[in-house]
Amino acid sequence: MGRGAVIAGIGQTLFGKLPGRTTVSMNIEACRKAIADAGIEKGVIDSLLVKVPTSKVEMMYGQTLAEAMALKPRFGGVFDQGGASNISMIGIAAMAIEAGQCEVALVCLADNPKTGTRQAYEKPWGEAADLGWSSVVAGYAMIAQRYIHEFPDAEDLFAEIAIACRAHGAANPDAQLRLPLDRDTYDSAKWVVEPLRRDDCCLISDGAAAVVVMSEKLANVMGIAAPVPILGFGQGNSSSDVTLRRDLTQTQADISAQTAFKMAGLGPKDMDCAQLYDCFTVTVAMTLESYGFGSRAALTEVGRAGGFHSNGPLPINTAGGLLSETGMPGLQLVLEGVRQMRGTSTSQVRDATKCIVSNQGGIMHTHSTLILGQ
Amino acid sequence: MTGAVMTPAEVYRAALDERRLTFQRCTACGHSWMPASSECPECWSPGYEWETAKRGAIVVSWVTFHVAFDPRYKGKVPYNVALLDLYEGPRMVSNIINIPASEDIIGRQVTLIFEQDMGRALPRFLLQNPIMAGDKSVY
Repeated sequence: MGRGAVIAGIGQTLFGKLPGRTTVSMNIEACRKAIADAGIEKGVIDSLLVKVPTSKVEMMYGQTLAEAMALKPRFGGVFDQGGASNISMIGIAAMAIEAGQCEVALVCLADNPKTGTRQAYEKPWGEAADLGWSSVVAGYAMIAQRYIHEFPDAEDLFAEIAIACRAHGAANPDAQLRLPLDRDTYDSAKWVVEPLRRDDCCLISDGAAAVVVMSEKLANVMGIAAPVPILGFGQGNSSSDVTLRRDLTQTQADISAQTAFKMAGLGPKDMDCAQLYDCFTVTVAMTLESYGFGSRAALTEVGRAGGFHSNGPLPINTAGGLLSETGMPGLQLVLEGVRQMRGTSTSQVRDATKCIVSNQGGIMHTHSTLILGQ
Repeated sequence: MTGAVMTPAEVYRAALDERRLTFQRCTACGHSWMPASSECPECWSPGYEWETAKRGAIVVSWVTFHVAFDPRYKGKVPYNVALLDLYEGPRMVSNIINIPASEDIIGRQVTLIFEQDMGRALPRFLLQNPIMAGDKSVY
């Protein structure tokens, strides 16, 4: 199921600080550009799926957006798994199309924590709030500390992940942060929540992205110029708070990837590049391992040899990722996967025909995986 | 009782105010847990009893805040927050009072104490047998 779906178009806003824009406005701009990219008219859209913004959580946001776009979707609404929502909604759209619930779906995300509030990322947590327990970065730092305890070379792996993402961001004219990173700068940057340094942490960004999903058959009928086949998708949700997870360095990302690989009939060795949710460097390290790209030691060797760069054996986040392109929670990684399959990335991987994309949300509460082909 | 029904979170907090660190144990399956909740997260049974933690904990992980996201902690950075497994089973978040710099304390034992701070009695922990600089004999 879903194997017959394609991403027919992609659209995005500028990334960075976008004062004066609501998330509805940014969503509409991304959707307008996505249908223009697909070469289709608004009238054929019969499904709208949207991730709720972190900067302002409100009921019925999906209907608010549909109203602002004068759409009456047969199928749609908000699906909330934090950052994993994007890929999960693409999977839901593909399944809904397969089941005859709709034909052409828009999946979109807009957020503006930079000009709005970043409270979602910095708030105190529950009963331990009086003990100073607060912020998303601290949750990831708790995981990273355990990871470093288990694998003392972790700092090299984290640094090489950040350096590769930043190199790709520097090459991407649409990236919010175009400053390359070297190891000395990484090592000397100040701690945010130790053991995470400044350059381990993603950007805070305003912006939006959107994709158009339809069946491959319909894409042929409509003469879509550059459809990118969706080969597989999956989910895996750890769901419990990081403080309750028995093993801090194990999530359900492996389940998510296995589901997607099985659906695609492919494995990690078939992938030409990976766009991995890099809210923090430790997330990429854990995702690579969970997806079967190698042990921590093997990944560190790949990283030390420059292997995460677009000309290496395991290119990651070729538009810069959350660390460099935009901190927006996740859909931009799908857009870059589409560009790689079309051959239009600013850090194009030579002859790339398969790309895996990860999304995750909360503090590794949720995870979803997408495999794109050509 | 005054007649008002307390939530499990309120019962937990009231015990802390009396300098008792408590957790729940399921009367159906025996699972023990924190934070306080109305049902056992393992078997969903609503039957539980309160127990008092007495024996300390093991460090699972910890972090050091160099930025105070919570304005009440401005002026206190750097400060640590640790994830601890109580010997009785449940896992909780707290602070460790005497962490030596640049030392991996995962797996170390800590002992419960109460400190009056933030206008209440807060459960915090002391690292047992802190290792002196240069002393490797305990490894």
